[in-house]
Amino acid sequence: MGIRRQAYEWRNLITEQLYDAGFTSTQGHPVLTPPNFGASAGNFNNPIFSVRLPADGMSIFTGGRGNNLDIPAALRATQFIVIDSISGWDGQSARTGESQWQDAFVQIRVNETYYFQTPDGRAAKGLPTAAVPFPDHNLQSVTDAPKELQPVQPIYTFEAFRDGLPTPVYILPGQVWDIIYRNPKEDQDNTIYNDAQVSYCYVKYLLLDGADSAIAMKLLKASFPVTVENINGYRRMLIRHEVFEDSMARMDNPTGPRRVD
Amino acid sequence: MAITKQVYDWQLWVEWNDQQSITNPTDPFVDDRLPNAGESFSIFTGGYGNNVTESNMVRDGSFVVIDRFGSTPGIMMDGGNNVAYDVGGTGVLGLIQWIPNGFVNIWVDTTGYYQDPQNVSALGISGNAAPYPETEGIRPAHYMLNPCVYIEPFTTWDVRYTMMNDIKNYMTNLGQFGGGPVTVRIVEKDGITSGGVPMKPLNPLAQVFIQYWLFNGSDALIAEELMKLGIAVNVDNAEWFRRQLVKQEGLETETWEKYLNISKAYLDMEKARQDYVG
Repeated sequence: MGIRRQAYEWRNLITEQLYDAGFTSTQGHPVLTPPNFGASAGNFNNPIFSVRLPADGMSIFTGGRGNNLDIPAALRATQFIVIDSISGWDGQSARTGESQWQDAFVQIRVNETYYFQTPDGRAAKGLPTAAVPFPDHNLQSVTDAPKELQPVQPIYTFEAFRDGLPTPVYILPGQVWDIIYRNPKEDQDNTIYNDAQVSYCYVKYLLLDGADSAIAMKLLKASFPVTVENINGYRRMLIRHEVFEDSMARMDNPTGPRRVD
Repeated sequence: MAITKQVYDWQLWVEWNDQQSITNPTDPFVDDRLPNAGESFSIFTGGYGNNVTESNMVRDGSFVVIDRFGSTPGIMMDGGNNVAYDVGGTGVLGLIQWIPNGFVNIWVDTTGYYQDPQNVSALGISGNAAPYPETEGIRPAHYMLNPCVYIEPFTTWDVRYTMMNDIKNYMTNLGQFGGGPVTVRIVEKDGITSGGVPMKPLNPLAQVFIQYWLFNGSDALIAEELMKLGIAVNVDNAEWFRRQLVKQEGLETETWEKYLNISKAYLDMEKARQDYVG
């Protein structure tokens, strides 16, 4: 499986048991026991918590909040990654008393370089989740949730990002990459009452392995976009070339039985 | 029907009487007919929900292209009477809505398709990223399987689902809710009558949908040839390749020129497509 479409989903939530024990993150997604709610929001047991996030952003892989990895994301010598979509959600926007608007940002880091920059060249906060909400429904399908639990406005993916990042980000073999989620509104621990109150971050990427990684490097050096179509096109070119060579070789050094018409 | 679009809809319902009295927290809700949270199982042969009789091995003369899947979206239920309630006032609290918080992974022989950024096998794609069913407001699906997954003959493939919400523990907690203890039940698919009032679940406990192309017979051979040539295996390309074969009928085909011609012809077609479509 040389070309694989991968995705990583981060959620700022933690179970009551881990929260009480002082933990703020888990390795991988935790097993949850959903809370039992009564008719009002205050009547429930077995809560799930969101934890306070650093105001200047944190890694969704190793930031110590929500579901994490053991080690930072790094590429092996035979791997190549094309990040073509990022999105997220500000869980605080669905809370009573908080700003109704999305205040979260998603930034991509490759080694020491941040992808999104301000016009004066400094690292920006990132892509606002108001432009790339995840998921898109944001509890709209739930019409019978208590009024105070419903988000104020449905938000959809901005037109320019419907097909992901207009210019994908390439991560080359040996490079370290990261996704930084920033949400200054998550400045304290909270109880989560519904999905819309969960802060999410989601990244989708192409993972190229082995020969496809080598093809991706060739394409990059030749200034072609690294896409599934171009990789397959390059592979076809190689096969065509090989077939052509084989065809010539047969003419020069016939190995099969002599054909008499 | 040499090329067919196939779908598989897996649903998990309770179809048996699952009423249990939870008298204290050390007396948990127990049901081995339901999957454990965090347990990865096959939607085809895992023993939960609707299953098939044997594992999916692509037979000789077949070729499979998996192109889309989805599963129940969401992390938790919203609460209130739309989750669990005592309809007839009989003292039995019935669960009628459940969100599994599930992840879907594809397995080809012994290899999992999804891995996390630290190169370790991952749970897969959540229902939020690839929802099924797609209800009003869910648009577009954040995850699409592009490129598709090809399953060659004599290869076994599987779709495994992992529910990260613990339904058994939830039912135990439900039994203790509001001062407990109470009798709880997961309402079965066909509904029950509780105190003279019919009671039915709102949706399956979990649902996974997968769609794939099945190439059979000569089309499976064409699919394999396309794959060898690095050409995407889809209906358009398979039909185009068939036309090329028909055109070449009568020619000597056991030569490399055939492949060269095919490759060149595909290049020409690609250019033509690019001219028209861009």
